[in-house]
Amino acid sequence: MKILVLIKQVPDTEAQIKIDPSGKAIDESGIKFVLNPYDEFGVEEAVRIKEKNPDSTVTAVTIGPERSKEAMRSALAMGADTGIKIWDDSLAGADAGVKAALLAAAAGTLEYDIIFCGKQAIDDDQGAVGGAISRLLSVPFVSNVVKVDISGGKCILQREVEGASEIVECGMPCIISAQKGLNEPRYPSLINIMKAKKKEIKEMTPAGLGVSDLASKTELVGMEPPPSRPPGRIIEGEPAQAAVELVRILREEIKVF
Amino acid sequence: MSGNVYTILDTRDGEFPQVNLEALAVGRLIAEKSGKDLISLFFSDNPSAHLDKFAGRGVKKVHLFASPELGKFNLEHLGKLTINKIGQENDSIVVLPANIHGKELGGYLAAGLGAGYVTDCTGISEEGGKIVYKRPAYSGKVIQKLAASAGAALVVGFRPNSFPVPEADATGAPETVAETVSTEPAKAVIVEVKKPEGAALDVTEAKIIISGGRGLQEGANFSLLEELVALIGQGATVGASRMAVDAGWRDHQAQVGQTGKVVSPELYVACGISGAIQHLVGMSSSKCIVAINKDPEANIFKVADFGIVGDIFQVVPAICEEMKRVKV
Amino acid sequence: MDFKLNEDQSMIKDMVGRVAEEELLPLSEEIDNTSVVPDEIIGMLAELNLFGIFAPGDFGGAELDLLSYLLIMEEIGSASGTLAIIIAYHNSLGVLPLLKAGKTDILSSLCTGEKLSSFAHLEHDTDYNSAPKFTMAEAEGGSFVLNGEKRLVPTPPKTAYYIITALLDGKIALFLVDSDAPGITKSGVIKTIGGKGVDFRDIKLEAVKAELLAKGEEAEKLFGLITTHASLALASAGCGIMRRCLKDAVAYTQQRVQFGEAIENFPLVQNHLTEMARELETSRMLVLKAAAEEVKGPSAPVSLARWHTAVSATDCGLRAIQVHGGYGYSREYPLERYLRDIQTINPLAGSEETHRNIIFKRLRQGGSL
Repeated sequence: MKILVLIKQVPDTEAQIKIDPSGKAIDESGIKFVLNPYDEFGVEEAVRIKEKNPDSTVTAVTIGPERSKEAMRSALAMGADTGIKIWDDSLAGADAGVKAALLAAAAGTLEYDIIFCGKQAIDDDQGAVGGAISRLLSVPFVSNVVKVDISGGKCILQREVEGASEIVECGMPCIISAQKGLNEPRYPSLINIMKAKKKEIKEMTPAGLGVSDLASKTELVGMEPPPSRPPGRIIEGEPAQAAVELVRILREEIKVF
Repeated sequence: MSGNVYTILDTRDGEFPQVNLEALAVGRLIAEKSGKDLISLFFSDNPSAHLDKFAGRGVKKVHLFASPELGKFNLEHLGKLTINKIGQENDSIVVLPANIHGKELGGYLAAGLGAGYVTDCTGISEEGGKIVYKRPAYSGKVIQKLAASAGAALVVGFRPNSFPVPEADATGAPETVAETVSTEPAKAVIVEVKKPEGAALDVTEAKIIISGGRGLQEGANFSLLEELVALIGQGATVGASRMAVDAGWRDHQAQVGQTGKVVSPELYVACGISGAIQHLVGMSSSKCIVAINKDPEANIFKVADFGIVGDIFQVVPAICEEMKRVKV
Repeated sequence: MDFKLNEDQSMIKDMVGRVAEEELLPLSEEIDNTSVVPDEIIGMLAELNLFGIFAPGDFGGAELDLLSYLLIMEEIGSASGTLAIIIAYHNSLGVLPLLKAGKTDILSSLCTGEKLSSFAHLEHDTDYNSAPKFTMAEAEGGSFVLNGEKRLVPTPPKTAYYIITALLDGKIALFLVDSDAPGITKSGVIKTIGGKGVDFRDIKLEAVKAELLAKGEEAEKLFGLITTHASLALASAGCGIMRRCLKDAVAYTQQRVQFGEAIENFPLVQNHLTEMARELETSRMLVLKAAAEEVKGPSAPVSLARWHTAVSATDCGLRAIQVHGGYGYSREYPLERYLRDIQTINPLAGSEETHRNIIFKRLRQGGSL
C-alpha cells in the first residue's frame, strides 16, 4: 500500500494570535508551531495501515517555509518514511486553490492508494484541500472520517455528519480527511525522533512541479480581531433564586424559549 | 457577461433542511449586493415535493435534478452536475449549505469552477465596491476579510446560525427547469446511514446547547443536563468540553471547542466548564452565553452574558424546577 | 556560549513537554493522592524510551546527550515530582553505573523499561559525601555477600535491581543486587511528605548475594560520577517544578480579581512573580552551565547548581502558595503538592551540606566556579 499524507505546520492551539502591522498576516514572532492536530490523525492512521501491511510506504507532503520542516520531522518521527516539502517565497499568502494545485501536481508524480489529510488546518480553518485535489486528480474524496477499514481493495469509511454516521464504500485510490475520533495519535519515542533526522525530506518548488499559475482566486482584504463581548452580568442569590431569575431573563429578555 | 449567484441544495432523508433556507438567505443577500440573479440547483430523488420552500425567497429560477441516486449525498454526482451546469462563468458566486456535505463539496467545486473559496463566512459587507466576506480563522482568534480576486468566481460556505432566515415574502415562486440527469457510477457511495437510537440533535444544528465539563465529576451526572434539555424540548441538545469527552463521559460528537465542533447557537449554557481557550473558540460566537460555575474566577465568566456562581448540582436542578413551573 | 537548542534537543523537549502536559500532569494529582504509580504510566514512559535516555542503541537506549537528558527531566518535573525521581534514579543511578562498570547483560531489559533499577546508599548517619558505615561486603566463593541496612530506597513498581554501596576491605564498593534476592527484607512504604508513589523503603540485607560492579578507587570515582549525574538531573526536575509554580501563579493572578482588578496589577504580587522568574532562570542557567562540561565526578559547578536550585525551588514554591492566598494551602489547588515534591527531591543524591562542602573545597583550592 502506498499512502500519502498531506500535512501542514500551524500555530499551537494555545498560541496568542496577533495581527501583523500589514493587516494581512499574523505576527509570527513568539509563536510555537506544531503539526496540525487533524493531520496527526491522518499520519497515525497511515502508520497504522503500514504496520498492518508491511510492504507499505508512507510519504508526508507539505507546503511551507523552512520552519515547516519541524512539523515534517514530527510526522517522520511518528512513522512516515519520507517527506516532500514544497516551497518558494512566492507562495507566501497563496490561497487554498493554489496549494491544492501544487499538492495535486506532487501527488501526480507519485504512486498512491490512499491520500490522507486533516479535515482542516487550524490556522485558516478552511478544509478546502481534500475536495479540491479530488477534482484535480479525479479521485474520490470522503471527508470527516472517523473510521477506516480496508478490505478487498476497498475502503469502508465512516463519515460523521450532523446527527448521523454515514458508511461510505470507496474504491482506491481515494482521499480521506481525518476527523477527531479516527484514532489516538502516538507520541513519537526518543529513538524515533532521532531516527527521523536520518529520513529524507525532498524539497520541491512550484516550477519543479510544473505549476506556473500561482495566482490566488481570493484576495485577503484584511484581518481584524474578533469583536469583544460586552461584560456579562452575575445573577446573585441562592441557587433557587438565581435559577428563577435566569429562567425569567431567558424567557422575557432573550426570548429563547 | 456577469454570472449569477447559485445555491447548491439537496435533501437529506427526504427532508429539506434548515441550512438550505439559510443558504437561500445568504444567496439572496449576495444577489442583492451584487445585482445578480439568484438561481438554485436542487438535487433530490424527489425535488418537486419541496418546491414550495423556494417561494418568497428571491429565487429567480430553480434547476431541478431528479434521480433516485440523488436521494443520498454524493460528492461526485453533485460536483460534476454542478460544474457542467455552471461551467466557467466569470464572477459567479456559488453558495453552499453550512453542513459537512456542503463543506466536502466546496473545495471540489472551487477547483472545478476555477473559483476562489471562502468557508465559514459569518458576515457579508461591501467595501470599496467589492463584496467582502468575513470569516473567523485561527479558531476565531482572528477575523479574515476576503473577496474574490478580480474577475474570479467564488464558492461561499457559511457558519450555521450566522445569518437570519426571514419569513418567506410575497415575491412568489421561482421558474423551474427540469434538468436531465446523467451520471457515471460514483466511486464512493453511501451504503448505510447509522442514526444512533434516540440520537441527540447535533450540537452544530442545535439552537440551544446545554454543555457540561469537569464540574460534572462523572459521566452519569450528564443526566442533569439531559433533563434540562428534555424540558426545553425541540432544538436543544447536550454538549461537552474536551475534558468530559476525553474522560469518556460523552461521545466526541458532542465536543465543543477547537478540536471538537464550533457552534453558534441562540443560547449556550456552560455548566461546570472552566473555559479553556480551546473551549472558548468553539462557542464564543453563541448569541447568548450563560455560565454556571462554583469558581467565581473561572475563565468562562469572561465570555458569559449571564453568570451564576454556584454549585451546578444545586443550580441546574433549580432551573429544571423553574422550567417545569413556568411551562405549566 | 550558545544558549540555542539544536533541532534534536528542541524536538525532544517539545515531545516530552507534550506528554508531560497532556498525559502526566492530569494524573499527578491522583498519583499524589493514592501514592500509586499506575503500571500503564510506567509502560508509556518505557515506550517513549525514557528508561534508556542516554544508553547506547545496542541496549535499546536513545543515545541522547546530557543536555537532552536534562531538558527531559525539566519537562517531567513540570508534571510530576514522583515520576522525575523514578526516571532520574533509574537512568543516573541504575543504567549509568551498569554501563560504566561494563555490566551490560541486563541493560537491555532496563533501557526498554521492562525492569527498573534503583539505588541504595543512605544509612543511619551517612550522607552522599561519605562512604557507607554499616553495610559490609564479603567475598564468598567467586561472589560477594552483603550484610547491613539501607534507608529511604526508592522502590517504584517493577524495580528489579538495586545498585548498592557497601564497605569492602574498609572502602566503598558498588554492587548489583536482585531486588528479590534471598536475605532482603523491605520495610513498608515510608510515609514522606512528597514524591508519593516513589515508595521509599528501608532495606535490610542479610547475607545477600551480590555482584561486584566496582571497588577501590574505581568505586569511589563511579560513586562520585553517578551521584553528581543524578544531582544535575534532579536539579533540572526542580527547575521543572519551579516552572509549573510560576505558570500557575501567573495564570491565577491574571484571573483573580480583588478590589475590582486582577491581582497581577498589585506591586506585591508582581514582586513575587518576578522573584520566581529570577529563581527559575538563575537555577536553569547554573544547571546548563554545569552541564556544558562533561560530568566526571563531584564538581563545584554541579553542586552550586544543585544547591541554588534547591533553595530557589523552596522559595519559589512558597511564593506560589502566597500569591494564591488561601487557595494556596488548600488541596483543591496543586501548589502544596509542588512544595512537598520540591522538599522531597531537594536532598536526594546529595544534601545541601554535601554540596556546600564540595563548593568550599574548590574555593579553598583557589579554584573558580
